[in-house]
Amino acid sequence: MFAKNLFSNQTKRLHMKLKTAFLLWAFMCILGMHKATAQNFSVSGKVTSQTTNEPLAGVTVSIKGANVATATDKDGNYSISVPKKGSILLITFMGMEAQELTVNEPGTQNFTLVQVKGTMDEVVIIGYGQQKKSLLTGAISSVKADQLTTVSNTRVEQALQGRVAGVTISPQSGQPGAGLSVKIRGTASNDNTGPIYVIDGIKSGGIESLDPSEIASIEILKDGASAAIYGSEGSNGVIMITTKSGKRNSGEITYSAQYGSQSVKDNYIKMMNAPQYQQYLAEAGVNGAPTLADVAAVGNGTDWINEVIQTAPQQHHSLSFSGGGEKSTYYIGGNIFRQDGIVGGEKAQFNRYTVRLNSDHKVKNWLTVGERVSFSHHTRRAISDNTEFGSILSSAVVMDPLTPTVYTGSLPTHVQNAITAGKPLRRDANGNYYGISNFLRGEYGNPLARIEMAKGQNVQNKIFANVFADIDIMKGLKFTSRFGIDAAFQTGHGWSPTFWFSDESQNTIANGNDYSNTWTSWLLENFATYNKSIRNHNFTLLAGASQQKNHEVHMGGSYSGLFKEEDKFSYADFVPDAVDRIGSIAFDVTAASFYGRLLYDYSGKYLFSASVRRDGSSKLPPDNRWRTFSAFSAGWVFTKENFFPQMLARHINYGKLRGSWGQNGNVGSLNLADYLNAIGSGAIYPDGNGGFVVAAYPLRLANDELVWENGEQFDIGLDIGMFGSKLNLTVDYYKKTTKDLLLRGVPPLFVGAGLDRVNAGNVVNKGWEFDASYKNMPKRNGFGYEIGGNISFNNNEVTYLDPNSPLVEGGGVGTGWVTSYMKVGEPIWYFSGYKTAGIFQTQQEISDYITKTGITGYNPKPGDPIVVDVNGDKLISPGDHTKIGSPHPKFSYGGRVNLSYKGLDLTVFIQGQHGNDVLMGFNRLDRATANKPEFFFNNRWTGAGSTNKWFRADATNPYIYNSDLMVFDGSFMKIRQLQLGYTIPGNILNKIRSKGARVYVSLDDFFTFSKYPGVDPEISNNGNSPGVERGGYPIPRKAMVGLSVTF
Amino acid sequence: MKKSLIKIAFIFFLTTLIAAGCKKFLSNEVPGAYPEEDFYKTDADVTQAVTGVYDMMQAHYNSSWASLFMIKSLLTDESNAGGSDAGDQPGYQTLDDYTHDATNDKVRDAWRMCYYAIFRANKVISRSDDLTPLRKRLIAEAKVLRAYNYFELVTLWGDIPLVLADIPPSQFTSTPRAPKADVYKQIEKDLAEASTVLPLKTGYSLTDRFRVSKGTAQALLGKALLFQQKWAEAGTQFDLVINSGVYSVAPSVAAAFSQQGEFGQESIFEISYASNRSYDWGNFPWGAAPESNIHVQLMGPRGDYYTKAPADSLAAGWGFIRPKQKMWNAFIADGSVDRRMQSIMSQAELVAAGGNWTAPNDRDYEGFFQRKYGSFSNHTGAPIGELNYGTNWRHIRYSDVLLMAAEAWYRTDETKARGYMNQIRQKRAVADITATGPALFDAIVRERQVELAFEGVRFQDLVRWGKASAELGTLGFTPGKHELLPIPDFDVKTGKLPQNPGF
Repeated sequence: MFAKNLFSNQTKRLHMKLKTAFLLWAFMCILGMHKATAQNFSVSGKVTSQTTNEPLAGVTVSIKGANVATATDKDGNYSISVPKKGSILLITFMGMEAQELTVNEPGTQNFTLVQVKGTMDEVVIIGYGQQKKSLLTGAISSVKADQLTTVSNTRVEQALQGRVAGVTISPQSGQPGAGLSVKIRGTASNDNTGPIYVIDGIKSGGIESLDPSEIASIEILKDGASAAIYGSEGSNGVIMITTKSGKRNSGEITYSAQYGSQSVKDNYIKMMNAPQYQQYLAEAGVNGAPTLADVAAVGNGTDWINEVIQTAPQQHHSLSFSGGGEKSTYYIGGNIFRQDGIVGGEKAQFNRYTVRLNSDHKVKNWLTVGERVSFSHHTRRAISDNTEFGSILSSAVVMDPLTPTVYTGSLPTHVQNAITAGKPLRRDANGNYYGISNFLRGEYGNPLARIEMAKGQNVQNKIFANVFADIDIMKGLKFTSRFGIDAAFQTGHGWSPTFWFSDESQNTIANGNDYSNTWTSWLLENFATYNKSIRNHNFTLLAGASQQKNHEVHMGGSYSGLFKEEDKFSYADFVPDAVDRIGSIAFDVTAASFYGRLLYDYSGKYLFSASVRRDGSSKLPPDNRWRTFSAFSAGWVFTKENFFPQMLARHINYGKLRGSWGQNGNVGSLNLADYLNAIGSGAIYPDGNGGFVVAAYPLRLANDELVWENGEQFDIGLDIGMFGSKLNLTVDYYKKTTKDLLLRGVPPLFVGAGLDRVNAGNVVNKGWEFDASYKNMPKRNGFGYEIGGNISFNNNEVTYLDPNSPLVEGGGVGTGWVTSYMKVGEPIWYFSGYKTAGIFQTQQEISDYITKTGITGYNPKPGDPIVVDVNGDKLISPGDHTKIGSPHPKFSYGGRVNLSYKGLDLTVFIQGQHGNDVLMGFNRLDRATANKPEFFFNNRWTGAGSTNKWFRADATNPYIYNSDLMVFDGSFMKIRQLQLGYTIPGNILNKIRSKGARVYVSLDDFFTFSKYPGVDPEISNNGNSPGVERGGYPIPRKAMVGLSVTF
Repeated sequence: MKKSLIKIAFIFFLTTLIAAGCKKFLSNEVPGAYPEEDFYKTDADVTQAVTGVYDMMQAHYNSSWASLFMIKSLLTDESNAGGSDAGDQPGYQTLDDYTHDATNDKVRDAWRMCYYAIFRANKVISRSDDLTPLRKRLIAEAKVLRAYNYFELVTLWGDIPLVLADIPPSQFTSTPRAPKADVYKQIEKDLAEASTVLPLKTGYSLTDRFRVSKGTAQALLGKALLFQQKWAEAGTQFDLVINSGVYSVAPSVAAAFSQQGEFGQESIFEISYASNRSYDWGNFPWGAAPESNIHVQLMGPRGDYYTKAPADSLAAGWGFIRPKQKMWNAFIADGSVDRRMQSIMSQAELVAAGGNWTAPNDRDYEGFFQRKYGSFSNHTGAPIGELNYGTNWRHIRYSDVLLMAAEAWYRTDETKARGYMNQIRQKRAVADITATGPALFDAIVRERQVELAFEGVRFQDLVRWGKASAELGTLGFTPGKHELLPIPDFDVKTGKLPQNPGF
């Protein structure tokens, strides 16, 4: 009944449209087939090699989509019987590029095959230019459009998960539209760990507005030297995105659609049922626990997880028109993406609409101009998750099983009392009161009621546009000017009706809030590129300058006392002005840069590059605004050496050794003028007569020494291409040192004020990356396959902290446990808590232990953990908190297998990480009656000798709930995609004038293998306490069907 | 053609370079920030800057529930921590159990707020000139506020850094802990200077009566001297306050702690809160500095189990500060029924009045409810009572001064001492004190225990009397250690301060 309501009319209408589209398409297919008449005819001809002009023997000639094939004879001749008009001839030969030709009549067709270009001949986008992959000297990974066409992810970042070695993507939540944390080569900073994004040459504030279908390629600049040309804030790496553009003299319509059903596996987290819960709390001696009689009345009680989870639809449509004439090309595209939530349904809906216009015009033979314009509109409703302080999701996890979802019969006393006392209890659509817990209070509340009450929505309109001109000044010299605007307009509205779950979770007056945020940024880039080759010496020189200005306006207001608790009265205009509250601020942040680069190669054999960039940011003190970042890299294509042994050359067609060193900056975590001591105002103090006086005060201590955070990275890599570049291997070792980390200043408290930011630490990430792929062309029998995989090992360590702040606090759990710290010698944001060493089995054991150690401050009972007195002060106290885990994986990996047989293709894509810990953070020490995972009950200590691993029933012991017992192995492997596709045969396509069409079914994120007993090991990413899981929104698994067709 | 193109391009290019290089382009206006060197110049500036000091002293909730009042109360035998369970504000719970250590967040943040207030006061004192009468007075106010914070620091932490000016980063780790005597010397100096400048409380307008006055400076100076056992000097200061004619004992404890009692006849120094900010669950500044006193809500009887008596106005709260049987017993022994009932209520009294309590075995609960800083519904405002308590902290009130004066004089002038005490006792409808000698001192101790119950003064009293071990030993008080709070571990690490013994 609940789930039913979640499909709104709007969604239904879309379903209808989708259905109509499918029917139409099916009808067209039938129509096409109906017209087709069977008539065999014969085609013959000769196949030669373009390079040698010699005939090729053994070339496979087949009919696409039909079980007909033959091979050329020793003179390269073939003859094949074609079943019907419009069939497609497919010519394949190992090491050569496949060719296709539609044949409509008998006759002679000759083919000239060209050698397959290895992946080394691909062109890769680099900062302010492009370069052949074979000439790269840095570590750049590339993801092309074809890998992104059938992803079911909301956001582009997520689609990169597992595809590239060294890139870690962690969703902050499984909720539609939720953000992601992207880390390139480990956690390189304390606050701002994300890379910068450059879309079509313009730095962007984020890529949430991009639809995966708009993207032609993504390049990830991982090493310091590659990123150095983006020195300004490139120290966490750079992700460069190129959007699609049209091809000359062509015209193409592409439509693709995808529909999916999202769900989660049963019992993704299993909490105690009512009898277990009752027994556990009773054994733990918790106050306010239910009695056996309470349980007898409810049986197993409510399975809240089950109650809040539903299946939810998602769909994606994209339509594009691209092509061009002699002088102009265009790409016009539009996308619709809609996703409901598996918890909250429409209350967690994310909708995104994007349109794009990209075009290029050769105005004169020396001038090309163009533009990249995208507009996106998204709406996001979200329900609270991933905080242990009573979010809807954490309420669903820990709500007691005795409380029913709703009361259909008589009301229990505590509910009746609350009603009598005039408390505003919520009712469901049928007028029944939602269940009110008589056991769990605090910030929590009935999650179903909370979902019903969720009224927030966020709308963002974003324009990301640039115009550019390329001017050929003289041979080899090109000047480019680009002007881009990145403007995001965000508004939010929400309101809270009156409710009462307990005295601690209630609202007796309906209130609302609105906010409006505008980020407008313009960027001007001017650069000149000069290419020159002198015999075998090839030079590319680049020099340029850029300027950027960001303007931000933020406004927010709140108000209470809504006239009626309805959407239409939820705005401030309908409450008396006296209860409105408003805040606003506006400011500019500017940046400017100069940069230059030399790329050199000697006949593609010896490669060298050097770059320098000088960046200025208005966030820093006047004397330290500018910093210069430089980089060098070199490569050696050893397979081009004459002395490279013939023996090896037969197998290894390409080999390159490369090394690089580069510097990059980062000021992403700074606010304007964090360094400035100044007087602020706005605070008030109650005077003696019911009024207020205004206070002014020094905002902070000054820090004129603040400088850029500076990343330095050394990288050495090896690229190997084998068997005609069918097998490609890449290995990299890197060491990335982030210096002058921008930490929150920690002057001693007696100094009397804070320091917003100081440069106070270094962190080192080092590791290995391996990437391998093997691609085999379809053979005579029509079978082809492709295998690829990558694995990356990263080791993170804080190597320096200002002696004034040897221990930096991160985030924490509940009301008193700081779980995450930074200190020298440990990984950034390692977990800290009590270390335990087994369980006390008997009172005797405890007495012996106390006598032996002389420990005070801890009075354990049998079944309590043995806590290690780490600091040896004979007092068990928070001073004994020590490292109990690390949120960083030892390695992460991705693997991909594509199999194809004639028209069928199968993709299996796995991704995982290993060796990281997850801290289960939703079991709060201060909420004793909160429900606990079932394994707490099953594994509990029940008497001497029962177990030495898990504690007795307990809900309030800090030596348990703030200890390593809450830290679990967070390794996981997910099958990200299992997709079966079918390419419609050419003869059918011809009838509908289609150039290509594919249908597929896919299971995305469907299978997870993990030992983590909490919600989802993946959704545990919180800025300064990564790896802490707070009762998050699980990542949905999706069953998808999709279609893409090109005309 | 080609040449002109090159020209155009290069002109374009160069223009950008020049623009990019322009210093002005990278200088952005910073909203909400006024240069410090231009401030503290006018009467208006300094008025706002001094308000900033009061404002910091009001920040008892601030971001992490760290109230010095709570710390001082939890260390006594007056009450237990309470709350929902042991994990509810563990920083408060461990103080109550004497298992707190140097990492205690409440101790850290209370220390921080004292020094943050001192920092703001230092700026006023060092940066303002005293060329107008108003600025002269404001500087004197800042000195009293600085002295007040140093008094709390020196009595609770012992030797402490004596910070009177900005500390440059180079001295972050080399600022020593000044001996207690030096701190007291500074306190005395500030207060002596201020008391000559400040007006009497009656010299302030109704609006300005939240400010510290001559009486505040004298009372605090007396207290500082009393703590140093400079009896006669302390007595002199207290007499100045008493003879000023500005203050009198309120007709009852309830009157002193009523809304009308705020800045009333007993008020010598209060920190002000407001009930008219209309906080609701949607706009309450969680994690910031609200103008209401949310700690009063924290101390109300826990709503899960509490039903208010129909005629009573003590609303439900979050259950901290649960009075101990020992406190109740002290009131019973005292004999003043009104004083008892206005300070503490038993479960039996609650039930008799028609209310109820359903968790007799709740943790830290000994059968009593605190009513001094009571969560009275008439102390709070609309729309959400829980969030709008306007109850002021009474840091120094007249009864306290009378009792301190009695203590200062009883060695040399018992009659005077008894007279001061009996001023209070007469108002509380209990028999006059007639005791002499050591019995008189014991009477003062008992009188302070009940008259000033739940006001956050007993811990410092017990320590200076040398009675802490006897009275608090069963609670976990370790002599030689717990007389002082630990220097926050944070400052031990970042400021290289030596730790107090035992921590």
